[in-house]
This record gives sequence, C-alpha cells and structure tokens, in this order.
Amino acid sequence: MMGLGVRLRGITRVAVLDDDESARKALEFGIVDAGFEAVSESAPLRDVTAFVQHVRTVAHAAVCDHHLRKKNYATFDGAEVVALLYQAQVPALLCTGWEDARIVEIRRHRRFIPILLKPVDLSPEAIRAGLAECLAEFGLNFSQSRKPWRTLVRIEEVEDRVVFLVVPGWNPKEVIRLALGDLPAEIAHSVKPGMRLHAQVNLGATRHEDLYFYDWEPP
Amino acid sequence: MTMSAPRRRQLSILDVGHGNCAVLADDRGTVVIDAGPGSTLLEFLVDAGISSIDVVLISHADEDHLGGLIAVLGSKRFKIGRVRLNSDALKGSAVWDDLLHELNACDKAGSLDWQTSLTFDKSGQFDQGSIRIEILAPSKYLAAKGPGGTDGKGRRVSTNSISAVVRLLQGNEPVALLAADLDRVGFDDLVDSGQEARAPIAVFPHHGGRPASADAVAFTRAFCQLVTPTTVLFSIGRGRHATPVPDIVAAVLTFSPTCRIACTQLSEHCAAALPRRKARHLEKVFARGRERGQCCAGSLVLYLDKVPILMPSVPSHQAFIRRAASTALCRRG
Repeated sequence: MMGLGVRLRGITRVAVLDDDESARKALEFGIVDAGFEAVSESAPLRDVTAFVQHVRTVAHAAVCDHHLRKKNYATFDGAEVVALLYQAQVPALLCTGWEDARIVEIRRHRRFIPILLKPVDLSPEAIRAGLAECLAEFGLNFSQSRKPWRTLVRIEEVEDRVVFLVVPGWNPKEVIRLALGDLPAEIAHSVKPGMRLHAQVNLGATRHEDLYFYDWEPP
Repeated sequence: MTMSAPRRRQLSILDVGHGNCAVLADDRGTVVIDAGPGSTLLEFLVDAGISSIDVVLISHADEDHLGGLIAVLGSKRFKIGRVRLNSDALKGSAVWDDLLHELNACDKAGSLDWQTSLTFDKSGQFDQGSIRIEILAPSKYLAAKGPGGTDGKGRRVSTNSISAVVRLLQGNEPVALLAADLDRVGFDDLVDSGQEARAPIAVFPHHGGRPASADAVAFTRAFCQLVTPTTVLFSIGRGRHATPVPDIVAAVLTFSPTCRIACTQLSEHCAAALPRRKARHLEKVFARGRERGQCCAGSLVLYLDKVPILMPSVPSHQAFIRRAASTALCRRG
C-alpha cells in the first residue's frame, strides 16, 4: 500500500469540487492532511470545458464528488469533469456513494477515471496513491486492473435504455449494466439478447464498477 | 545483430485467483493447460514475450478453467496452434457457448485446430521437446458417457468427473500432475485405468474444495496415496469459496506428512487480514493477487533444469507464512 511518502512531483495545489459545502470542507481537510494546498471551487460552475481550463490555471490536480448539480453548483457531473481533466493530463479523483444507477452514468467516462473512491475511503494515503496512479497512466503505465484488452462481450438483456451484458473472459457469472447510449449508434440500433460482439475492456478489474468499455466492434 | 538469451524451460503454475492455469514454455514452444478467467494469462504471456501458443488443453467446461482462453482468443494477440477439450453436452452454459463461439470463429478463419477430445489415449500427442505430456484421465469410456450419464458403478458423471488430468515428465521422471477439478468418480476412473500417477508436485483437485458428495478425507487419502506428492499446491482465490477446505489440508498433512503445501493466494482460513508489508518472496512472474497483496505463494514456477527447482523457495515462503498467516492451515504441530 502506498503511504504519504509517494512522490508526486509537480503537485502542490488540488482543486476541490462538491455541491455540499460541508462535504467540500471535509474534502479540503483531507487534501491538506495529504500534504497539499486545497483550492475550493465555489458555485456557479457553468461550462465544463471552460472549467477544465480554469482548473489548469489554479491547481495541479482535483478531487471531485460525482454529485455537483445541487443548488445550481454546476451544470455538469463529477464524472464528466474528472474524465476531461484526465484527458487534459490533470490528475483527478472521483468520489461517489456508488449507488448502482450512478455507476451506469459513471461507466461512460470510466476509461478516463482511474480512481473511484467512497467518501469514507478518502484518506490522505488514498488521495496520494490515487494521484500517483493518474500520473502513472499519463506515462502509459497501467495497473493490471486498468489495462484494456480486446475481448468478447455477450448481451444478456436489453431494457428501455439499459443493456445488461456479460464479459465471459472477466467473470461469466456477473451481469454488468451499461447505458444503451454508451454503445455506438450502429450497434445500439440492432443490439439484442444473445448477441456476441467485441470491445476493449479492462479484464484485470476486480470489481464490476471498475470495468470500462470502448472500441466496440459489431458482430 | 543481438541474440536473445535462450528461454529457461519452466512450468508456471499461475495465480489466477479461483481457477487453474499452467504454462509450460521454453525455446521450443508453449503449452497452456487450463486458463482461469481474467487477464492473468494475457499478462503472463505478454511479460514473457510469448506470442505463439502451440497447444491449449482445457480440462473441462467450467469457467474457472476456460475463461482465460476466451480472453486470449478475443485479444487476437496470440497465434494458437491446437486446442483440445472434452465435449460437455450437459453444460449448456452460456460461457461454454462463448468459448465455442470464439473457437468456431477461429476455425472459420482457419487460424487454429480445435477438437473435442482429450482422453488418456492422447498421451504423447502434445509433448514439448523432452517434456512428455500424459493425459491420465478421463478414459474414453467416461468421456463418452459424459456429464449427465452414470459411470460403471451407477454414479452420476458430472462436469468435474471428466476433468482431464495432465502429468508432465522430464525424460522418464514425473515432475508435476495437474488434477483440475477431479472428483471421486473421475479419480476412480483414473485408478481403474491402471495408469501410473506418481508426481512430486501435484495441483490438488478442485482448488481444495469438497469433492462433491464424496468423503473429503477419504478422497484426499486416496489421492495422496496414488500420487505420493512431495509438494501439494492449491490454486485458490482469497474470499472465493473458502478454499482450501481445512479438513482437506489436514488430511494432506496426515497422509503426506513430509509434504510441502502451498496456496497461490492467502486463504481467509490462514489470515483474517492481508499483510501490510509488501511480499518480497514472490517469483517475478505475473500473479493476480500481487497488486492487492493477496498472494501467499503467488504464481509458482518450476524451473525444469537437470534438477527441477520450484520457486518461491521453501524458506522464503515459510518466512512469509510465519509473518503473515497466523492461522495457517499448512502449519504443522
């Protein structure tokens, strides 16, 4: 396990996003305990692209709750901004209570969210280890649980806007929920139970909430 | 021009979590025996610089023995020569269909040769240089009866009963026996066939789980008496199925009293919590439990030198057990 001694060159200021002011304060304390300066972001946060640019000017990393829309704090969700920060090479951690419905929302962005933490697990060690993992991925050094492989995916059920699927090479006994809209349009239109297709999936993941999918190939 | 160093011949018994996977590799080629699910086999092959697999043997139709082959086939990163497995009409599971789907796609593309036949008459067909690969079970009779049928004694034949049992010999010396999920019906079939089954290293059947309705202690005694192992391995996943069963480990200690016991991962029977310190005794090959600190022996490697050497070594592994597994089942006395 990584301790506070993890080297995080270049990171001194960490932006904090949460639509609950008391929760934001708690996050700030955690960040300070981890050895960084906390930069609290106040409402209103309007445009996600502009906000990512803003974070790059005021901080070197971010810790963000998934729920940001309460009291018009932000017009976007935490998963969206964390994924964009990651793509801009800004290390960012996402917190969530992990309700199942939210996991489906978050999965859309999961490829660009290395770390998903429960608020109670957001220790100083976890913050530093999480930021270190982001930096490692920027250097294309993926942990086993995050490395993507092309693999077979079987569709179990299609209901309304959700697809239930199985990744036999990962765990054939666990059914994964995915938003229908996360599939490419040409596949989403024809998807049906029993269909087998291929996608890039991080087969080393140990928990279903850590799985991500991309580069879908039609049958 | 530089020449790469010759690959040291080795049998790697991989920590795939709950499941089995072994890889025999040297300069002449690669044989994979079972392929537990997840990315372990993929990671191992990439780390070892292996892009071509000559033979894949799948013992039976359970996902913890074949999921990794679905992953390897789907990845399209490896050339595979032959795949052999036994048909299982009873299985009818989607994952079995998944594997057949991938194999069929490769067959149509002409990229591999697969057949549903892995019985004891196939011994010698998969040899790798001086390493002889014997298939000790199932018999053609039991395989033909198949899961869902009954054996000669009227007992139900299950998917586990027709587990292919693989023995490796170097020259004429047995080096390892891989027993898959062999149950009492399959074991009796092996004994009835009259084949020699001794091996110094034995991967215990069914991850040290109970042999269906058979008496676990009696089964273990019979297995130890037949195989006479000096090392018994349990291929387990921490937190999955509570293996190895304590009665079985105790029986191994009773009936093979000088035997070394090693589990791939740290059973919850042996340590309620994971060790805080990073394990340093593990062999430097991929192990599923390494990143999360779940390994006990991790992935074991049998270096097939003139005198075979199994790593991690006994002293380093024992030191880890003393430090990290206060209730270790393998502890004597």
